[in-house]
Amino acid sequence: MVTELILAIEQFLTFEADLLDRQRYREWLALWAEDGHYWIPANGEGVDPDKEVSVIYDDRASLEIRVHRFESGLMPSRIPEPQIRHILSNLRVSPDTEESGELLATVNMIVGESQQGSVRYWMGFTEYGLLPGSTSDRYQIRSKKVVLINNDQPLAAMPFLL
Amino acid sequence: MFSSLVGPVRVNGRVYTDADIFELEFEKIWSKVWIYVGHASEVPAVGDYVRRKVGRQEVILTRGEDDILRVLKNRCIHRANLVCQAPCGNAKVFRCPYHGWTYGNDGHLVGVTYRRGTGGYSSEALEALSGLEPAERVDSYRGLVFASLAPEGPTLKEFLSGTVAAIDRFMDLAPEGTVRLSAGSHKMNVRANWKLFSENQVDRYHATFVHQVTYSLDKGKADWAAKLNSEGPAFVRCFEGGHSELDFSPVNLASGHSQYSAGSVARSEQDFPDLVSALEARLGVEYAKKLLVGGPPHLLVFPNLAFVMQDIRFILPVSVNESTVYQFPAFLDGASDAVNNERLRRHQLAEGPAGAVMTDDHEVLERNQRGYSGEGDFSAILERGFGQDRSDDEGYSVGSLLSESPLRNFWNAYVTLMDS
Repeated sequence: MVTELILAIEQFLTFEADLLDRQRYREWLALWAEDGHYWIPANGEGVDPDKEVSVIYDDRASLEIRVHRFESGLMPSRIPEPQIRHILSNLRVSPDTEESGELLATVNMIVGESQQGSVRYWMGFTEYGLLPGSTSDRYQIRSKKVVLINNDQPLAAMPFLL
Repeated sequence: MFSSLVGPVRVNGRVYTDADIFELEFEKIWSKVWIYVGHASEVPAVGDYVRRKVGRQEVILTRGEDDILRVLKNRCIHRANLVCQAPCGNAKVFRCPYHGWTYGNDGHLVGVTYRRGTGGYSSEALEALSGLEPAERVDSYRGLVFASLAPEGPTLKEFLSGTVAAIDRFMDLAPEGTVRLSAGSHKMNVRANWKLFSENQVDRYHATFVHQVTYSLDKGKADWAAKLNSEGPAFVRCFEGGHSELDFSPVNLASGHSQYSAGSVARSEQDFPDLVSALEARLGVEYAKKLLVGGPPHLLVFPNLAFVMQDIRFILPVSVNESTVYQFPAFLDGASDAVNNERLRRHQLAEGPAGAVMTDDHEVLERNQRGYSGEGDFSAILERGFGQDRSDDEGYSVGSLLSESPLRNFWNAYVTLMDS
């Protein structure tokens, strides 16, 4: 049972990362719950995004605007389109589920980005709040928080999503 | 020498790429003029500190037991090790990890380990040591703490010259007349010379192109930008010392709204009635309107500090082709959470690694750097609006909004310092 659950979550997170890598943002948006929040804290693991600076703190509407921007063809930072690839590992699934059935899953993450002849790495861990979806290997993302290990240090521009 | 590299309307690309010039800037600029260190609100309590740099000199902005703000050089007087390692915090003492020398949060030398006894120090030599070296001069204006590593020179007020009116407008938007930087900052690494960033702060010309996407998604902002470009009265104003501002207020006041208007993805301060009435009561209707409708200042303080919308930005050099950019949203003291939440939201829309403005600015500046790093004798053309400036009522030089006179003004100050 536990193995099946972990496998299903792993499949889903791999699927999600692949959409981001291939920058199929419309399909990626369809994975999100209406009240979802995407959060990349700055300066630590993040306490209160309404009081402190975040790299990104987007609700669903803001995510849609971001995707619209990415697809506009008007961003110099996305010409040519960024080449990125996620590696996810060390999956942990919290045994406690909320009443809503929301699961907490955490992975370690490295994203390689092709940059001016070398590869830049974005490294950290990601916490997902996942709601059960239509099938056993499909979830809805209620929350996604990406904590970069160097988020208190100067970061490069990020014209894509982790 | 520098007047041959930087003419009235040309800038030789070497100023962005030559390591010897970069090195000389530490002596002629970073160790000479007033450099912004931080804001008093970042160290509100006794013992609070933040680590910063003046050029490449590591410093600590600290509030000592005596409640006095100091800028201390962050190096043990023994062997120069960093005595403060955390980016910020609260401390009674700073203890050097190398040999344990300890300093109070006001910088005084508290103790030298194993001071006496066999192989110890001769007491006379150490009695003369008072503690961490303070920055040669420290002064502040409306909570903005500046340091100069030169023992003598113009006062901070003289240095800031005409910019104080713009800084006042930034601070006066707060019902209590002060801001706080409690939300922390974005820090970005940009592989470009620091001067490209400073120039970009007062280059309105690029906005329509580099930031086209922000206008394409925001009808209110697009309408506003169209007004700026087509209606004459917005202008650039240059101050002595290389400082300058873009003044959008004539267009804003004529149309009744600043950058964010109907159809915008964000709200302006003028959309919050409680803030409007608080400012009108404290400052009078006319000045309140200038702040709220005229809009925030858009200011560059030479060499590296900018005020943009709700933000304080500054850049520090890392190497000739690498820099660090800091971006702090300022919360308004005495304003409601709704106002400050909106300022934070606006900050995040535009600023930081994933911000709609900063992402593209950084990419473009890095490409500039790569362009200037090419072969041959290359000079940038900074000729827009040359010879078209006029004097305003206060005697400052003003030009049209898309003029490059703020850049010429920056370079003028740069050459004066570098040739001094």
